[in-house]
Amino acid sequence: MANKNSSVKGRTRSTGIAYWIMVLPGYIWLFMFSIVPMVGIVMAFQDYNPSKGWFGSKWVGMKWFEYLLVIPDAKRALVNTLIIAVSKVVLNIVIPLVFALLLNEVKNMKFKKAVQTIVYLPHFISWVILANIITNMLGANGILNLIMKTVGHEPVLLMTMPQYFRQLLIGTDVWKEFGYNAVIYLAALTGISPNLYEAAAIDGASKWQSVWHITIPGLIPTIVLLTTLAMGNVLNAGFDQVFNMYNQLVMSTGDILDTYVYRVGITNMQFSLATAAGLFKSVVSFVLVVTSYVLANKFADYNIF
Amino acid sequence: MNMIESNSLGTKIFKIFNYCLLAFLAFSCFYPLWYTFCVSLSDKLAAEGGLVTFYPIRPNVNTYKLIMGDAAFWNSFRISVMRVIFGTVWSMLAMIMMAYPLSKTNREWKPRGILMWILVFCMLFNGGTIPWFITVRNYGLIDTMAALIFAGSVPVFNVLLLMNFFRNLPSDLEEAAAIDGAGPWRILWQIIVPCSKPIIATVILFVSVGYWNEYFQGLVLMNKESNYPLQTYIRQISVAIPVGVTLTAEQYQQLAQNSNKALEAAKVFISMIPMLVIYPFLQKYFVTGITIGAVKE
Amino acid sequence: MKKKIIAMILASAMALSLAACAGTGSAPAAPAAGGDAAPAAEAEGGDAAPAAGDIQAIWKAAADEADDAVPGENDDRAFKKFDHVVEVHYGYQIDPVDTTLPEGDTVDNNQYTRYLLENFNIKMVCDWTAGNNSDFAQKVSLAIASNSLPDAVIAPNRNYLVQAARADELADLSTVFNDYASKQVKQIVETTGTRAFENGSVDGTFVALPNITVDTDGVYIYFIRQDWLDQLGIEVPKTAAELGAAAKAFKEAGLSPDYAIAGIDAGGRTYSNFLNSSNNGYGFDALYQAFNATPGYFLRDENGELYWGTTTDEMKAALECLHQWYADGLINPEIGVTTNGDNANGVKNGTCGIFMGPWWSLGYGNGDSFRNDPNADWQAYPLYTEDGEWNIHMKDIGTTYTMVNKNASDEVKEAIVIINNVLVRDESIFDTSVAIAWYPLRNTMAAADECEYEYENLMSILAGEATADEYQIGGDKFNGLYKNTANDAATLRDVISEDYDPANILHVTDCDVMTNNGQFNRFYAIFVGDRPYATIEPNKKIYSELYYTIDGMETYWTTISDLEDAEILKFITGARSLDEWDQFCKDWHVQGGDQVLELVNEFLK
Repeated sequence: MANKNSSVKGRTRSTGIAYWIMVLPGYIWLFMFSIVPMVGIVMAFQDYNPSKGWFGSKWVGMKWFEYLLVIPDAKRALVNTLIIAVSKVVLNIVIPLVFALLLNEVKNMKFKKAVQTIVYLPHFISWVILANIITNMLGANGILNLIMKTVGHEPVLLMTMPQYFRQLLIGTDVWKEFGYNAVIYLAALTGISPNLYEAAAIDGASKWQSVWHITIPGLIPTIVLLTTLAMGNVLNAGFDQVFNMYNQLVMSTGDILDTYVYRVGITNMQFSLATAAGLFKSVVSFVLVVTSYVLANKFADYNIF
Repeated sequence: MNMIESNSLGTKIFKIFNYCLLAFLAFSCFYPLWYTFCVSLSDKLAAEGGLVTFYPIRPNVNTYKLIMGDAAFWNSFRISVMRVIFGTVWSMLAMIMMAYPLSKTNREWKPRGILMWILVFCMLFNGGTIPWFITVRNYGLIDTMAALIFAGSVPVFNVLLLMNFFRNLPSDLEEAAAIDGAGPWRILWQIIVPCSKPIIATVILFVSVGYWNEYFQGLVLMNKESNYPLQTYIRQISVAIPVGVTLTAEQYQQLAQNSNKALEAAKVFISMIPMLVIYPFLQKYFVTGITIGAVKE
Repeated sequence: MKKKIIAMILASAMALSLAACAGTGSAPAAPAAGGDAAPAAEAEGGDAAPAAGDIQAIWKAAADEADDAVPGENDDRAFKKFDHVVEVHYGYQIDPVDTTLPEGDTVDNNQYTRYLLENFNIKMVCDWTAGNNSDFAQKVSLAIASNSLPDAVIAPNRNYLVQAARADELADLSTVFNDYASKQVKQIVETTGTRAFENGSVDGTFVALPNITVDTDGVYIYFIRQDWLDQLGIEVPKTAAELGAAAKAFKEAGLSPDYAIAGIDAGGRTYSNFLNSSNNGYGFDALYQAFNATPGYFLRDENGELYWGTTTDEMKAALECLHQWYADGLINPEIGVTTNGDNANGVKNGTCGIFMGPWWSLGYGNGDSFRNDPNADWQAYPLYTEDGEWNIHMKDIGTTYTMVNKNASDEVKEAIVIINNVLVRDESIFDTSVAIAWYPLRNTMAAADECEYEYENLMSILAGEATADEYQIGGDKFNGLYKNTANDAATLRDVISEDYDPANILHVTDCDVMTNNGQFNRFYAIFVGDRPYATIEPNKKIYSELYYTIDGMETYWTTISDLEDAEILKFITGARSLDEWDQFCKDWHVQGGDQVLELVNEFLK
């Protein structure tokens, strides 16, 4: 008995060492390129002067944060970020799900496969390129206004309309990613046993009923997983997309925290203010992720980390 | 009887609607690619004047001929391919080895808790571009392939994906192997990894697309244009007039003379091909594999 | 146990990261401390006590300098050859799609760098490059932020210069520039009065070689298809109302089905402001001037009170006109939205007949419209106020600056001044089949009236009053100050037909567009684009009281300039009603404008 115990202990220890060795390369990587640069966060509490560095610059306490709270631009950016990012998080879960369900109803395998392959395409195109194409498509001579003209409607210039710009950002992002995001759902759908549907059909359940009572419950674990993971993105409204798509006319609804930080930091070279804004964003995201972690744990009994 | 009839009528309408909607979606996703292709085949002036919508105007393959002899383009192409290959191999190794111990419970491996939170912390906090740049420079990595591979740090989100998948694998497989005397290394490479093909395929796709499309690091960390990866190269040839910078007469002339949107489109189109080719290879793993996880749930 | 290990790892992590940062933070801090107390240049100032860095106090006038060596030769001062090789490290913007560089040549090994090495023992080493303006600006920004500027780099606008100077990263160039600038460079500098000195100085210290560009870069006029005017029998418009009527006529006649007046791209401005006071292609500057509005400038009213040019009633009137045009479909509906130069599509493909900009917008700026249609007869005219006045807005002398790292040795500083001397003197003798942009650290200096000089003198050749030969090196009329004249005179007849009668204005039909397209663009810009400024005396020249940001202004400026850029465009498109103009003016003043005005007022006292 005692013998067996110590061998298990010995095994546990050697396993522990093996685990440490396994995680080591990754954590060294993380340390070198994520943790070390975090020292720069001190800039948020300083009046950073490059030639004096992070240890010689003047400390100014919370000055930049107080300042952030009074600049209308920063507040506007925060509001826009929240609206855009939350909508993206929600729709990027719901739309691919709906799409997966619709595609699942298609019985023509050739059509199904073709659609499935084509809808991934936009995912592979970077925003630098796609933004330009979208601007052209929605422009005065683009495909949208060709259609408008043929149905006798006034041309609509979506890119000039602040009232629609957020929807446009959200819509194009969802459009770009839905095919890709649907992969996980489609896979999970193949895992639901066909017997369940047959049984339901015999019981006289309608199409909608069987979707509601069999398909959706079968997908719940996947949905919870994706939702919790998405929480980390709640303040990531998508720098690349907005940066490449926005313009002065839609600034009031299109400017997000990340583009604001970029303009302030790199373009106007107010390094400290930019760092403060970035830190603010990180803190809020952190709070949200921890909250959703706790909620997922409590209500779905799912421990994401 | 009644029910079936109404059902079949409703089903018919639904079917037509469904096919139309899906076809429309597929078209919308295909159009940007087609558009780029059409511009690349169009006459320079038509491309420049924004006249292309559905088909090439005065089609020709001059742009592709030009690209064939463009050493800078192919050099950047080669750098991007190397970056994707080395970067993906390295990060897959590092991430799989990270994710496996982290997929244990806190009870099975105590340090997990703190390591996990460090990971989440790093996903959400960063020092900003400037400290990151200074750090990479101090490591002496400017102008090296290593910078293109490592400087982005660990893609934490992907580690979490792997970890969650590993956690949901049936534990009896692992237990059986442990009873046979297999150590953690053998369990990881001979049991866990082969069972996780779908998620590994997904993450490979994530990582390689990430490396391929990334341009900012290439711009900031590479000093010589001969070290630029492809996306950085493409970005700098696209003629953009930045906010707050006014051009001089001469710069404007240079822009106007060298601007060639057809050529640009051709380069963009070629740059998309490798990722489109990778996808079908990985696609077959998605469906077969995730089923295992799903069945378990 | 495990906890201890983790604690140790974390502790060592912190220690390591601190060490890593100490490497970046404290090392440059040490010389900075020494530099603060006594900049090297101050020693020479000695007890005579002009403030260190004040170049005006030590300036030796061009007239007092000995003559420069002739092009291609050396002398002891401004064109000296170092007795050993001096390496100059620099960061530079290059053109990624340039095709003029021979195979095997590079940014720091080409005919220009070899010329510098052979004749002056200056070896250029390019530390980094960037391919377009925004990428280059980003690299400069990072270099400043991380205190890692190379020996020399060109600041893309004044903001970068001010930031680098205030961060104490720049060398004082007053002594070296005074001692080594060539007579020719000094002459050019003196054509600006003291403005070049002020421009190159931050807080009283001369820290950069400012570029000096022609005045006409900031004079805005409008361009119109003369052939369309003739076809419709319309007189050349003189005022905003007449221009609007012409635009309407173009549209109604079907010549401009989409829009008749081109606008700006995303990120552009509809008017140039005090920080970017020139070269605002496709802006509406000419129109604002016609309403006596000078937006974006610090101005003084008749009582000497400082005010902001944008928040005025004249500006409102101008915007009302622009909004009306927009509502009537005359202006490109996608103004401020298009990207990648698409704003000019209509001009290029011959469907848009009116736009505004500086002189070079014709020829240089719209070359494609002639390649598409060699008979597109674009002409340039001033836009007058209702009272018949032509009031022009005067630009800053230049917008880019050669900055030198404060740790650069004296020899490197001298070399940088000499590189500039050589460019100004020898540009006309270089074989420019390799684009001159490959000349290292090229930051042009031109006499302020270069274009008008060329207009006059080239016209006299066309009129038969002079010959091209007289303008070549050694000829009677050769003048080193106007360095492009020799080449332009020699190529004049490649482009302009013998049949052209200089008594009339030049039309595109008098030119050969394709044979020497580069020179066609230049001549069309000079003879047509610069004709208004070269031949018509403006009624008023309006200067801004200030052309750069001053200490303490940046944070306010970021906010209010964002507000201004976005709202003005909205007033034009009607996204915001002009009834809210007063509210906008109030917002501008409250959100930081008042503080900015106060700071500037204090500064100018």
